[in-house]
Amino acid sequence: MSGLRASLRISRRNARRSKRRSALILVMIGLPVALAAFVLTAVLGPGPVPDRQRYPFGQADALVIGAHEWANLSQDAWAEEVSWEPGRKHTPFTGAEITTVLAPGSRVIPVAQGNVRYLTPEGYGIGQIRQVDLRDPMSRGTFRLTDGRLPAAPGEAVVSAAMLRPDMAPGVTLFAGEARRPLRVVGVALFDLTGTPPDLTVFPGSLPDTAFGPMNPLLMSRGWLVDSPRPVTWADVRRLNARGLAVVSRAVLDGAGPDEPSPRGPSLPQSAPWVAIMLLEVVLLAGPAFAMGRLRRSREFALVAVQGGSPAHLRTIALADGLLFGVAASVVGAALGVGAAWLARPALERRAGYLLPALTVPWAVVATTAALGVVAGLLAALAPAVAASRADPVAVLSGRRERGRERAGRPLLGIVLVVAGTAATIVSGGHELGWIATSALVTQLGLVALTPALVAAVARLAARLPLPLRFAARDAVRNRGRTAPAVAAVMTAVVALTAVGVTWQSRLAQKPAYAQDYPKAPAGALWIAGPDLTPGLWDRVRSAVREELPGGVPLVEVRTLTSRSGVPMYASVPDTAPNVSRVEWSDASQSGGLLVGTDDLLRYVLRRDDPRAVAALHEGKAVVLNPAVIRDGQLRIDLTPVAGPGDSVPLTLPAAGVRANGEGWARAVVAPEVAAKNGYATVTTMLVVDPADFRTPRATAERITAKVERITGKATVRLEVPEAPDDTIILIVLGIAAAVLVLGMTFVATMLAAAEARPDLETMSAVGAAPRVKRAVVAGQALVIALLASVTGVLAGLAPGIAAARQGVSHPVAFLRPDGVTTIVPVGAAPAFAIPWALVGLLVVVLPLLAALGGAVFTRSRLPLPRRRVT
Amino acid sequence: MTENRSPDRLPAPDGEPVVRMTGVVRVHGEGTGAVHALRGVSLDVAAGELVAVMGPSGSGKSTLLNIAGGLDRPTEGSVALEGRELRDLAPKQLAELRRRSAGYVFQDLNLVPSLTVAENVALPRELDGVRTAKARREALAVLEEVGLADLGDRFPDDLSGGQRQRAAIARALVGERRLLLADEPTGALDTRAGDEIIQVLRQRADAGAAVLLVTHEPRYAAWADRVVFLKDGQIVDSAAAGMETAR
Repeated sequence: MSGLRASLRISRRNARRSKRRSALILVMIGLPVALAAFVLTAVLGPGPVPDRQRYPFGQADALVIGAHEWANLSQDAWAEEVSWEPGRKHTPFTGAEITTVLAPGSRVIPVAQGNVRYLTPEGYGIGQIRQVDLRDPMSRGTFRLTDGRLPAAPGEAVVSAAMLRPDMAPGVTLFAGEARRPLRVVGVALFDLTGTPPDLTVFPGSLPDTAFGPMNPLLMSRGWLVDSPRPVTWADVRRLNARGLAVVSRAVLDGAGPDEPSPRGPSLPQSAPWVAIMLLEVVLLAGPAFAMGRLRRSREFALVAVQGGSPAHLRTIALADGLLFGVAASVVGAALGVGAAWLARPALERRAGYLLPALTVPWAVVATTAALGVVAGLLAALAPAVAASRADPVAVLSGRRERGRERAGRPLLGIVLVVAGTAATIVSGGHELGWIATSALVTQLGLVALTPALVAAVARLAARLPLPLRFAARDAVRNRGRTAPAVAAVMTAVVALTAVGVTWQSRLAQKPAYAQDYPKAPAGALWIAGPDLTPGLWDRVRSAVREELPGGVPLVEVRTLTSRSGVPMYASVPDTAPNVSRVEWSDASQSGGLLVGTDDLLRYVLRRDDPRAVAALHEGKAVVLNPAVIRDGQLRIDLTPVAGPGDSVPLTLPAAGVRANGEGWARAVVAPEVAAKNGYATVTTMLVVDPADFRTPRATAERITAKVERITGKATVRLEVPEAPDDTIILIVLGIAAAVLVLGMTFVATMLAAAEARPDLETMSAVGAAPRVKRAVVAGQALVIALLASVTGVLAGLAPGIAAARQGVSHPVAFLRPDGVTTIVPVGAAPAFAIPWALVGLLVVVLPLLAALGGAVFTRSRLPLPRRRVT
Repeated sequence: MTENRSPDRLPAPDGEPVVRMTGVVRVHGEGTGAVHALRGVSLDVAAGELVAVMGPSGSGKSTLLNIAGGLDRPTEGSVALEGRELRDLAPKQLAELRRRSAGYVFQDLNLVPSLTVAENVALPRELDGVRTAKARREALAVLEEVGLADLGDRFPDDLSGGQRQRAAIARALVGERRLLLADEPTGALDTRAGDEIIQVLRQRADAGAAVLLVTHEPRYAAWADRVVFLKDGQIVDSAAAGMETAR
């Protein structure tokens, strides 16, 4: 297009001349681009964790594991499918034996990993422990030391940053495995996420091989890292297979190519409505700033027109502004976003406690974001550009005010869109969020089309208002072309804020949407669960609790089964409840629902005194709360050690079925003698204050919590009382966003209105208006924009907010109570609706008044002198 | 000064006036609120001719100028610029005409403040699609003709009022334009600077341009080849000015 270069030059120079306006526009476009680029890079940037690899290579060329008995095994490249005999007897290869079958010059170091139970000063923990020399070059890249030093001798360990607690910090000595081998923590490190990241990495020789369980190629429990002078090929792998070694070779995996590419980022249909909403908001946000620029430069545009600039030229010049700012803001924003993601990586890693996979900037997505920024700039400059091309240069140059082409917008189209959008929002309620966003967008576009009509309606109310407000309202209507985008911009922001606020508040109101909000014990009960505490720690906890409770309040002791050596046993108690898939992971008591205790426990579990149940307990029977699972008077359960070697063993007990009052707070209860008779020990895992005995006051519970926390970090204290939803964070987060958006946009729009109203103010000045009238007029202009926008916006934001809040629990969620019983959150739990009145008040009352106040304060009260114009 | 430069840039006058206005009527507004700015004005300006338009406020001087250059359209009558009838032209073609045939100079604030003087002068050429370097060469040539050769890279804010007006004249002439429309170009200047501007306009006329100058200063009108008096939208007198005495 002819004159594009000249247009861009004018834009560039003007941008430099009006620095504040330029900075404002750059921020309005650049900030969203930067935020999007940051989030996209931080979320999509780190590559996928190699989930098929059991152990990170680091600098090693291969990982081998093998035993003489495994000769002639076959495997796939990942050693996921290995044909081997998981028999008991294995004679593992020694390092020397392996070296001889590898390429000459190869070097190997032993690695071992397994789930190990360890004891810290605050109780037991179970987690992955790796035994490898981190100082060896082959380990490089699998970790980053952040504190202390690397282990240099057997008995030394580094702790994973993710596991760092006061009881697992440098200087602390832990005891690992059944043999209670001491491990002194000498450092802290971030570990690679490949395989199961370890809690601890210990120096070779710290733990016996048996601590890592049997030889297992699928777990890479005991193997060797290989440093080979040449790549380990598939032929090498087959050769080593014949000897009885399973091999994972870097060269083979690299040759196999990457896994099926996982989809990176949300799909287009999913993200389209959000992108559109974002775009609309940025366009409406930046639009008034561009309009302001056009207004200030109207004389310049007229001059260009006089010198032969065609309407197309003028549009080009005005659009060049959009292009220039769009490109500059997007490029800078994208660069800042990507750079920030890069710089934030160490912080993110520290926060995560792990090394994140290598960051590859998702350029395509970032470039799309930047392109959207440019589009936003161009769209925002479009309306001012069209206005510039339509202005009459003679009128501008002679200082005559142009009678703008004021349209009443497209009220019919607006009404149709609003009705359609609202209907769609109601229908989409409870469906995917994308649908709600799309229908909200339709409503929003309808409201934008309706805004001029709304502004006109305001004028009818203005007749009885005092002069400044009356003037502001009439002026707003007369210049609908300018007022409408400003109102639409503020309104869009308010709609979004209200919708988020309503959804948020509703989610809070429908509280037990989250597992931690469901009752985990009878109402009023105080419970302290700590399956990992040692008896010594329990003694201290018990006395701390007793100190806070009045004398004579019984403490119900809940015990669970352990092996004779003290390893907790997980009990799989049969259940016939519908929709319950057996939950195999540990609950807070790690019991599986089989509790050991006496009469007081039984009373707590059943929520009543039941002599028949007490009698059954005393007879050595298991009291089973779901009688349906009893077969021939017997309860058959499976007991599995939580850590260490050993398979599950069945245990059959005589049983009595007793239904509890209400849901009941265990699956089955047995007496301690029954456990002992069957060859099991028991440990305390929970203390309960039965609300039937004593209702613990909240203050007491808080004191107990504080005391227990000082003793150990491995116990949970909770008082079962309903808590009022805490909505302060809604107010803070949304309030700040609302203040910035509403005040900022109103301010820009008001400056625009005040600049255009200058001739009227001159006239007022000439007829004797006091300087404060100007302040009042500007305040009035701000009030009209902010009030109209926020009232409409709040009303329009309710529908999508409620629709999104209806999106209740879409699939059953199971979680575990401390007594080991699963609770299912039912599908489609009745949704609740709540309106964040504080936020609404802020939006409808406080912010418009603040906007008006700001308009008055920041206006120079000196009235302009009428200026002679060229005639 | 450039008095001795040969006017090789402009074609020699060929007898046909550069602008010919015939029975031009311009009515602003409609019905009872209608204002008759021009009521049947006929005026020719030939190449090499400097025509001064005088008259009281509201007599239609500026309207006449706007219509002559295609910024405004007559309600009735015809305007021909270099032989082309403006009535039939689309706004885009009128803009093209302003880029190639007619240039305006106003009382004040003629220049785009964010462009250098040379860029201001080159603007009509660049808008016309001329490459930047070529447009700049042309602009510098015209700037030399108005005595601003050294100030091409300054910004308008750095210039005196008189220099700014000269730059505006240069811009109005760049690209072989033959009609210069000046609306009170001396209005914002002191006497001395005003005199200089009139001399520049006179030189440009002598070099072959057709200049239509709106002024209310008889002193400056005296430099014209012809003075046209407007009153209530009509030409009430037209006289050859006493150039010799004024000069």
